[in-house]
Amino acid sequence: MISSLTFVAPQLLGDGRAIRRPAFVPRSTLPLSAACLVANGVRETLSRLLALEIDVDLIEPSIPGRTERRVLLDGATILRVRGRICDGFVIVRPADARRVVALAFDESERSDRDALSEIERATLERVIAALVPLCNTLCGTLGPTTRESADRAACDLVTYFEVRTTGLARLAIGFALARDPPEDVAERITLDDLADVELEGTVSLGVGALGVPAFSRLAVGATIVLDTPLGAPGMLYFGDVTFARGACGVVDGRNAISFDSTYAAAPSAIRGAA
Amino acid sequence: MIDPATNAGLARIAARERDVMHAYDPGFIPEASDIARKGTVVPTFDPLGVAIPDGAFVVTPHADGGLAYARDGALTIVDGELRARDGGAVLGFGVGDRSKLVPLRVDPYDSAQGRVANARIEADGTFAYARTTIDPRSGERRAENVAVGRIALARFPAGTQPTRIDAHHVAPPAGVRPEFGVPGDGGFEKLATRSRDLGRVDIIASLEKMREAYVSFEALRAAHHVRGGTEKTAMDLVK
Repeated sequence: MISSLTFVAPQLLGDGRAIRRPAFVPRSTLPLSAACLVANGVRETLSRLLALEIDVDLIEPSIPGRTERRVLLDGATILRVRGRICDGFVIVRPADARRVVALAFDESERSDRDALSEIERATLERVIAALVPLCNTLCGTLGPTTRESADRAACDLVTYFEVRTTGLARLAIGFALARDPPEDVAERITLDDLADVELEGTVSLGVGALGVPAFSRLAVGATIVLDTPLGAPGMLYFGDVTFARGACGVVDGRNAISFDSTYAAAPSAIRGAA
Repeated sequence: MIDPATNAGLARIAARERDVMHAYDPGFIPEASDIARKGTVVPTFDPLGVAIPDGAFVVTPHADGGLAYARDGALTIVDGELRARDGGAVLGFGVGDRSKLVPLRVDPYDSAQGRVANARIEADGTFAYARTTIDPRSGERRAENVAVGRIALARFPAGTQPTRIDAHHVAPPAGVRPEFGVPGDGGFEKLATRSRDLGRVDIIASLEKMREAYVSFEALRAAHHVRGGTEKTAMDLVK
């Protein structure tokens, strides 16, 4: 399990100082791209079902603790779907359920004092059921869907994320998994993996400075005398990195640079390159 | 057995000692009113630490079901609720509702998902935090500013001497109704954010008063001693 180092909310000490203590918080390995896919699906599904222009935000997947799971699921309408990889949950909390119903029936607000009527409950179930297929991305091939109790779901839930609509029609639809996706730790990269990569090197034979007036007079036939003396070592660069120094010359009719003990390699640059 | 005068002298010393001991305790309400000084506000790194304007109080629930008034601006979040240092909820007004005082709580669902960051109190008393969300279309993260509500301030009519409840709380005298408002509005000054009030007890004056209490007690004791000697002499003469 991956844990993130974080700093908790400031806690006051007796002397008036506040300190934020470090803590390791378990991090979900559910790919963000999968959650984004679900969130986009929620936008499209709700826009279609409720005939509204809806935009959504995604609250990043997390691994809530026992207390937090109870808070998230308390009184919620929960559908559980069997999946090939793991079970998935679609969660709609009471306040959001009332808003879904209000939007479905084109009402501005639904009072929390009145219980939902039978037709309203049926409408709510159908809206939530329409969101279940989105779990396909998270759980693999889907099986049957059942109504789940909050207590049972709180025990089985591991990974949780939320899709919230923005704008005037504010809703939150929770998605959860009974298992956090396993971590796929790839093998270490070796030099063989990089065998096809070509690095373009540049050898600098000499350097010099040119004033702007002299620069403006440059023309065909002009000769620039560099500051570097004849026989001085050349510098080999890969990208911006100074890789080594060496003697410049000609081998088989082509320019060449040779590294030998006379011209020590640029150690700091090499360390930087490594 | 200690006679009432001696007892009162000892109580005076103890009260003065308590005032001295809490001289640098922010929000401490001294037992004696003759050692007050103007507050000194110093900056801190605590985004929930504020200095309350002169003459104003934050409002917290009292054990008797009423309200208590405090000046300690070292606030903190406990279980998602904004609280004073003694653990009492700090009351305020919800967003868009100035009709009733309520505890200021972060969204429990944001809290459960660990999405409450950068909680702070702003100069106008707004208790806010940042909620990080992701745009599912672009994958871009963005921080949404969430305002929980505004801290309520209270003040008493000019000339009112509040009743001390404990070291950090006062209540208005019977029949006096405090005036409620929010910082930077309705005559209340703005809060000094990321600040701490160093306390309003004049340490020099309080030490001087404590010394006077000791001197007074010594004089009382000497008087008792003299009276005791006189009574003994009289008794000896009678015998």
